[in-house]
Amino acid sequence: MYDLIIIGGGPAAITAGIYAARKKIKVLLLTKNWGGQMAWAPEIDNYTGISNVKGLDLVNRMVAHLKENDLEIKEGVEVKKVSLKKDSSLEVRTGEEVYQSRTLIMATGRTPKKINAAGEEKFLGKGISYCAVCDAPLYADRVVAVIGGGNTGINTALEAAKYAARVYILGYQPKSSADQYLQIKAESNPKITFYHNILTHEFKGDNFVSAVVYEDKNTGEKKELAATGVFIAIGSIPNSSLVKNMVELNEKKEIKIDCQNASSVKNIFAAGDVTDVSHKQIIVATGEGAKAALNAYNYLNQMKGE
Amino acid sequence: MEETRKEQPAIRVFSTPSCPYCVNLKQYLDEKGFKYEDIDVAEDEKAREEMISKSKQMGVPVAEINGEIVVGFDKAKIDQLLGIKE
Repeated sequence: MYDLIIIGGGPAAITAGIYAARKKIKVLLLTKNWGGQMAWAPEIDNYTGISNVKGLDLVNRMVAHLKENDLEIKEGVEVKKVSLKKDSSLEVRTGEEVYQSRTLIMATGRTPKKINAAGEEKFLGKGISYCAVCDAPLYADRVVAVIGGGNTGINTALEAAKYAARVYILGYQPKSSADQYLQIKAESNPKITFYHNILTHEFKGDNFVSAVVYEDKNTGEKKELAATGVFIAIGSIPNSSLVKNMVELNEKKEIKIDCQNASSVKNIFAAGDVTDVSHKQIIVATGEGAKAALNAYNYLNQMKGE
Repeated sequence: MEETRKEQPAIRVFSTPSCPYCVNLKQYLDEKGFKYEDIDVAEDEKAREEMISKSKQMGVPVAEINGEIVVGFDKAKIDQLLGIKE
């Protein structure tokens, strides 16, 4: 029986692991991979103390910091099921193993949203990607379409433009919702063209994607853009499904937490972007991870009657 | 107990420098003591085309283990091909 199991490998989970390990309780951290969305950020320049760092470099620094601490870590494993037992302890199942714990921290972050246009599934990995830092180099010298005109979309387009011949941003909104700073960066990049008020209909091609069919909502006209690389960057959804039948979620399916990071079930805590925390930022997630671990520790002490 | 390794399997890893899953895969192989050819498809166009044609897709990482193609950091398949036991 563990005192605490943490599910996740991003900034919230890692920080929770460091704080929990320092309390000398029996901690297990389970993650499929490291970094969560942070690993996908080409550049991070708002993490206090480090003015500019590659997402991957920050991930590696955080993981190294975690591994200097005394806790059990299982990498490359996917949690399949979480259940609450009669004695209110928790059971966590991966593909091969079953673990028991007194408390749980859900720090599972978010997953890129799908646009659900025809051809999206068919061409995933065949010209369609959700990860510019991974795949932008593969679209060198190609025409690339980026679906999404917000912060994620523009960051993706800027990354793609380092390699591609041309980049077209297809933004759904009449006006981009991205930070002004990013909009200026995109507009001043000669390789990037920004279309607004666009509805993406379909991705076409044979074995690999070759065109995007879209509608210009200003005119209602349907058009086709030849592109052999597509990034879908329209935001993300919370990874809360493991506990969706156990704890309260808000209308966006985020885990509702109180100021001590407790969910509606008192020994299930949550931290970071999977929760209803007001802002999804790396630095916020680390703070939330620390708070979740400290409050789980308080809960354990109360249970022991100390 | 890890099996004694008869001879080093032929492992080639196609990746890009900034891809986090590529780093995870290479770190995993390093941790398990396997040597591999590290091919940067961001730089090497010929290798990029080889990867795409062999894996029939464009995502990275792609590992070629004794001729067999593994797309992504598919730990279970890699463990099976390399005889890694947890």
